[in-house]
Amino acid sequence: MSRLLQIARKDFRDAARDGQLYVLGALFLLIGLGIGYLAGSNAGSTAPQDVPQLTLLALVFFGSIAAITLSYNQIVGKRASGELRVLLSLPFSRTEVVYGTFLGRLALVVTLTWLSLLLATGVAVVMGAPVAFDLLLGAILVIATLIAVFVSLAVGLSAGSVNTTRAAAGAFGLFIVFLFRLWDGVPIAARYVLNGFSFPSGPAPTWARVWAHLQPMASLRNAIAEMSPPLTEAFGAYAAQIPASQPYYTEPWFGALVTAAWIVLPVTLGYVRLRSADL
Amino acid sequence: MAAIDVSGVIKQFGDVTALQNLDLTVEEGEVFGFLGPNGAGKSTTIDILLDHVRPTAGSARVFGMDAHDQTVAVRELTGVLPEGYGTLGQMKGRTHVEFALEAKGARGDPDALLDRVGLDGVGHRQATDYSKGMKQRLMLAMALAGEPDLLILDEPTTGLDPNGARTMRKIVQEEADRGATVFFSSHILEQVEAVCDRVGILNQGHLAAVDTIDGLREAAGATGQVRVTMEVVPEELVGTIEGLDGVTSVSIADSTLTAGCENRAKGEIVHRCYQSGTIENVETSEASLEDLFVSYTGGGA
Repeated sequence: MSRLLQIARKDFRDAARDGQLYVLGALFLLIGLGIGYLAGSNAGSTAPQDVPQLTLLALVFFGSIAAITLSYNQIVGKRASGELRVLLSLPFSRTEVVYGTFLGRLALVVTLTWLSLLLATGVAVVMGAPVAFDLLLGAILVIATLIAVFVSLAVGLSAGSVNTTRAAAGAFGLFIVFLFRLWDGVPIAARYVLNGFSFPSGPAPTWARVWAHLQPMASLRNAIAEMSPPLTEAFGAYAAQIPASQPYYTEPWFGALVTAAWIVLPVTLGYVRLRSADL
Repeated sequence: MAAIDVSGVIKQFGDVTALQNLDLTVEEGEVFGFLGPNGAGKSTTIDILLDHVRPTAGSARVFGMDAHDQTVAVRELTGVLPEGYGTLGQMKGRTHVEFALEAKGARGDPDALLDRVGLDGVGHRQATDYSKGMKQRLMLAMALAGEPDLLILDEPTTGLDPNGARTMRKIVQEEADRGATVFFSSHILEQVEAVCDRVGILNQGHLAAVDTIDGLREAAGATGQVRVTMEVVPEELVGTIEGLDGVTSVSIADSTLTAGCENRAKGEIVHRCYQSGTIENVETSEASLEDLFVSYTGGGA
């Protein structure tokens, strides 16, 4: 356990001299200041939900991007540079290297996003705008969960890639699939092929509708939909609508389960690939 | 119990066989030199001991523990200077050593370790800014952290200047005196000769020979030679010297007579030459490790 945390601490500290961290740090600073100022300078017309909601909206996009870009090279890059050899010559297990990196990067990116949320709130409050603190707390937890999904995806990708080129291609794939909604195109393409290479008519079959809600942003949104409706709007651009009929696969428990799987499985799959690899 | 016990290890990378049925035992407290030409499989053997690669067949044990199943326990007892190492992220030299000490769960003075490898005064600098030789020394300091029972050093002197190489030999000797087992690979023969109790010569994935250096000399039959340069070498001298006890070969090139022989015959050879002409120069040598190396690895390349 202490060696796991040693890796996590090192991973967090490594970021301090990473050039791109400063660019991203400045970006998150600006998001926080910008939204806080926007709310504060229109203090009269700002609703209490606006600051948490708007900041979360921005962080869903920029936080996911930061999680991917800051994580995808963390293990495969060490493999290429020889650093992994040194770590694995010390008494670290491959488990500790992968999950320690996951924890370290998670802490780093979550810190960045919380910086935005707290800055936005602070500036807004100082300038006299109302802020709903229960929603702020909700946004803090929701963004941390979402970041966990994307750090898991990117660290898993990094652990499972044999070289940095493939990891970079994979990271690009993550953007396309999740942020640019290629995910939603998969059932359409599948139905097109199954239908003899012509577009199918009629309503989407159940599996295609379930598929849309297995996407991590949709599942997280579904998980919080009843608890905190205002925050769900931050996910509107990335997730399919919840049907009025409320089928089981859009219920909060199902969404929570799927989200948990998205946090646990990607990094674990990457670990399994690295575990059996020759360095 | 043996410090290292490799038995029947085969390692294939795709179509390439890196190790063919390797058997190797290193006793506790021994300084063992692992010699071989490039590509012989030295690093692969070390990688298997550290679980960086997994054998296709066979098993490797370190202090009785399986190198794969108990790899963390193995590495807790082992200090490693790996091949193809990279510095750890963005850390200072001193922080590297602290990191190694923490990982080993060991107390120790990082500055003393840096001192020992000749990095005193530069511990506050970023390790990424170190020269190749300095990085190598830093890796050695990390390997020494926590007084390991076994040191595994992969090509430890590559990239070091002569002073660095001397420091390395001194440290190997000190560690052996402390009771540690030292296993190091090299293709630089003199360094092996200077510090090793035993030497293993690896060639094309299997152990061509393993013995003390003296033992290897005897076994290879390469005993030594004496070269006598004379004003004129009389023809009949060849026959005379060939007939001496302990002489294995005689040849003449230009005005130099070269006799392969045991040490005890050298005096007599020089004496006979002195009797039959004017000697201009005498050179005598033991069989070099290089001769041994070439004789075991077939010379080619």
